[in-house]
Amino acid sequence: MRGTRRSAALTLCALALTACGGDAAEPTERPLTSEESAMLANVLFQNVERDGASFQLAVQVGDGATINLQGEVDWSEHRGHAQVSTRNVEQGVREVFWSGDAVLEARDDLAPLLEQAGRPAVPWVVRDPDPVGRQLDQALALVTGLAAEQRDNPLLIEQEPGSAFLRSDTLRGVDVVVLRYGERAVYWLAADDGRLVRFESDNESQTRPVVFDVLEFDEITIDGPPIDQITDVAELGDLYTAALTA
Amino acid sequence: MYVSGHPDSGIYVGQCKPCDVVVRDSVAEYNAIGYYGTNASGGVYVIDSVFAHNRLGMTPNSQQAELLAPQVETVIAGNLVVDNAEVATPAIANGFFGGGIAIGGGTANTVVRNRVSGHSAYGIGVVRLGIYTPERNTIDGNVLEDNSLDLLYLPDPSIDHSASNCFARNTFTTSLPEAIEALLPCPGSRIPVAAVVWEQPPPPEGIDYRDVPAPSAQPSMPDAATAPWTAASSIPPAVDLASIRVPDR
Repeated sequence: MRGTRRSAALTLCALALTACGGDAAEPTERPLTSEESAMLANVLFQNVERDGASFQLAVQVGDGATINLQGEVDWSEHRGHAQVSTRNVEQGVREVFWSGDAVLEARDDLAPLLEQAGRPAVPWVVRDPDPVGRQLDQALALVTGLAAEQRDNPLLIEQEPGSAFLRSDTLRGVDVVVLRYGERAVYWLAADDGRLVRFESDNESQTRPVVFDVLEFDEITIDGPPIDQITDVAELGDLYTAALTA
Repeated sequence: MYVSGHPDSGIYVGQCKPCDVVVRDSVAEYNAIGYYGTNASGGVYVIDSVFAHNRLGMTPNSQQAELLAPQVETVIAGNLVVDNAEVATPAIANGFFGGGIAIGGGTANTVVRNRVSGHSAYGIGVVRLGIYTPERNTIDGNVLEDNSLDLLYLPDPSIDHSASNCFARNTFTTSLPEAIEALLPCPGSRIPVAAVVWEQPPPPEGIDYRDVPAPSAQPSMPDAATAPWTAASSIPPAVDLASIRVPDR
């Protein structure tokens, strides 16, 4: 068990190139104390209370396929903006704005698509979120999903199978406690006030690791591009779908 | 006890068996839920209290999220359960709105001599919740008025019988199924009951719990500074259920 987790951690560090660097302390797994489960119960609620943050997200979505985002999230309004870099998945997306009901993409191939469709050149295309079919949208949903309108129940966290204190550590100069909630969600929380510093997760087979790093909490307002800079995906007809599978 | 403005439940008893808890002479208002008893089983009495202006007044219930499911044996008696359809309250996580007393997948609960009025969904519902379907609950001698639906029996769709739930001597106007006391008389037994259709109305958006107005000044303990102390006890006070009456509005 311990060795498996270390292997996963190595993969995660490879993905989060700029964020990793926690001192490699020896694992000291034990059950959560009530104070630690209270920290977990508060963390996503605190994200909303703090309004938003700048962040980095690294996701492995398949063999050799990764999505990296760097941007800002407004947890109180469920909106975000990020620069996008991908490998072997979601090719061509450079930048994205999103909310609960729309995703705006800046794409490398948008200009020729618009030209083929006989539409004026604009930098953005808007579409409905597709968290089932699009890997990018799953990543976006994860970012905005790190928020809760209410505190969680510490007792239920404490008795959730898998919940545990993993270790104390230091990340980007911040003293943190590393706590696992259930089997697969790991939170790195600032030791002084419990704020989220890093979130890690993975699937059951540990092939799709996710690392989310808070760079700085701030009041974030996400204003999308001007309306005249956006075209609706319907204007592109089947050209957009064809571009996704090209 | 007075509780107001909680985003979850004002009074919570959960995950205990036996609980041996008596909630009495309490007021819960402007919460998401007034009384919430998830997997709270055995020796639970919620009596002679007021549950008003919440989104849901009272709900003994069974849930997998906590240990010791299903919930068994809570007594709800002599409560004033009114107007639990308050928009200016925090939202319930699962979205319910407008109920007086909801036995959500609970077992062998006794709901007697409560006054239940002013609810947009239903007054007293014996309803399924998640994987749990209600069994052996007794709804007896309650007074229901001004509810969109006074009494509701809504088991899991796979259940075509009463599951020993029973309704008797209630003062009410509407029920689903209709003539509920004739169909499911007390004492409860296994009686065939055709499935009913009931759709939960969509809940209105909730407010931030911090925006719930602060309560007015509340009565305090008389002579608190000089009253003689009483040792705490692990044994709850005795309840004389027969002496509890339907409260006035």
